[in-house]
Amino acid sequence: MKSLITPLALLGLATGSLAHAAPDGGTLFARNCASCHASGPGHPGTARLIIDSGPDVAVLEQRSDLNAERVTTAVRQGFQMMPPFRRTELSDAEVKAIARWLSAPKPKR
Amino acid sequence: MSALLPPGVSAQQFAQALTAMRAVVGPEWVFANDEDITAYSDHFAFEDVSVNLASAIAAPLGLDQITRIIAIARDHQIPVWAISTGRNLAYGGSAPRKHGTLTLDLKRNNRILEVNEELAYAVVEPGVSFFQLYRHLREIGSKLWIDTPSPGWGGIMGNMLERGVGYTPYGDRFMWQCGMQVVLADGTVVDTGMAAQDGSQTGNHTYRYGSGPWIDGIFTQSNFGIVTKVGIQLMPEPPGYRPFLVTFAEDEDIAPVSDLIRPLKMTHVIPNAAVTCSLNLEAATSLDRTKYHVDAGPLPEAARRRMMADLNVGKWNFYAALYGPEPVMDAHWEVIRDSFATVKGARFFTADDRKGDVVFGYRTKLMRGEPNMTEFGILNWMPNGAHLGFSPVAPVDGKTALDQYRLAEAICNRHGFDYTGMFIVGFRAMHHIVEPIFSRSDEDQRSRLITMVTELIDEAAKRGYGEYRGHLSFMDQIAGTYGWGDNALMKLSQRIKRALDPTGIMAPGKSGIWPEKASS
Repeated sequence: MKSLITPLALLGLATGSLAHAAPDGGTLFARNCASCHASGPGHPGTARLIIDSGPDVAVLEQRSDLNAERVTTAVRQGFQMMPPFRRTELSDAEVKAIARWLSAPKPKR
Repeated sequence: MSALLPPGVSAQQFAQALTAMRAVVGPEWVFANDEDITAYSDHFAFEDVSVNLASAIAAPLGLDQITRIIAIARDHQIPVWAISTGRNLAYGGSAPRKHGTLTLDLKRNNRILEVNEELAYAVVEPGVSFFQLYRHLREIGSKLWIDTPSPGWGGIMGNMLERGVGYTPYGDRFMWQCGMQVVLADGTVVDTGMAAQDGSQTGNHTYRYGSGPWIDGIFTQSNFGIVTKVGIQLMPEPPGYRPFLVTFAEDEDIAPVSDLIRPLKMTHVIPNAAVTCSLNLEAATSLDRTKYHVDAGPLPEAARRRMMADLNVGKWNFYAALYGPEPVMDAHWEVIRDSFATVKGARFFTADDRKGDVVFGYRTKLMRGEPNMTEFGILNWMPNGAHLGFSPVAPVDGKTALDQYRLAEAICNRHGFDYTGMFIVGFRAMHHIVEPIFSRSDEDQRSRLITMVTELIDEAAKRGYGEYRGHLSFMDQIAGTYGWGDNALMKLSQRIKRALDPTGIMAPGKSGIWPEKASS
């Protein structure tokens, strides 16, 4: 049985210091997560999710089954090869914005 | 609150110190609960992570807060371990060398203080990442390039102080450091180089030496002070850029290839910190290992040949680039082709030949200083993957390169690991980065890894090879391999340590340098 958190495996990130602004979740995701989790080849988080769970759930921003709590847990605690993101990297408000954005309803693809 | 205490500090003393630190930085920037402390551990730990944790974390903002936190630590005899972005993965991540050390997280200090387009440099604080500076330069329309390591999420200053390397012509990154500010254990703030002149405004980041002893180097890979800002010189965008790949079919080819690279590098025909990558490094980024080998132990030769065919690469794969006006690049390309064509089976590829190739794509970005995370994908070589770095230096010499490769491959294979590595070429030396990939959840693998790296360091030292950088767990061992003259070098470092930090509060154990009263 797959772990419940497996689909979130690598809520990767990639730097960015945004402590002074409060941009929306999509912008934060683009700056902090997309280099690992965007669609297409060359993104380690997406590649891991393809191996573990298949291509249908590999691209986080295209998923409709994520909830804020699971996103927050993955960001703050890390998962598999993805290390945690600390409060000095992403504030609680920023993590919340990313989680809200990822878990928002999306148009059916 | 965590029950862990700094060594030799009582619970009461520690609580008093944290209270004082909260008053300086604000209560929200001192972390002492278990979840936060775990977030500062080594995410790629192969030993029990619970024996190498911070006792707490303080995250000051600005020079005044940093010096006041240092003063509190000094008053309470609390050792501190400074991190910039904490992404030193494969070498210990953000964990301290000594269990119970207090971590000083400088990530909040993330200002790009200056970009000088004309003189081509930037001045950054510790928390500025490669991605951040790259993005900033593009946003302001700058024509300057940065140099970046393969995962671009790390900090410029921290990586530079570890003497990390990249892939552009500015790949020996610390070579391009110019000016730094350092806080010493007694609270003294030092601006080095030209900035030491009272009122100096010009030249601080164009001439690094100033007058008198040049001291910046002693603050790299050391525990003599905490660097709070640094100047980094940047490469002007060249008029042309042509990445290329040359593949070589046999393991032994690393010898002639390295010999051929030497004159091309020394004469700047190949200007960048080029890299000769092993097959496994190529494969791990883009293939699923289980499709080639499901058993324990290293990949057999037949599987490696299949991977070569599937990826259309070689046992060794040399990535470099040409930079400059078209006629210059044309002329250099001819010289390069003529050189490598002397190796039987050499194949040449340009960007047009490798469209859609993930590895060529991210190497193309790296050699023009564009940060990305693609190489982090080597960790997909196995579930829950991690890696560490064993990184001996080699002269650009074929015989040495082959010997180091054979040594590392034999030891890795004997302990059940694939050889995954690359030689990053400077002008006269190569960083041989061996990156064994292991599963974080496989206790047996983690145990074998410790034995293996211990052996790698010892066997390399017997042949006269030393590492340029080491993981926390092997810092003492590596320092011990530089023991000529009755440990004269380490004794000198210890004398400097005791002069600058007599109570030993700065990063005890960093690079094997311990205060008198402490040890590993």
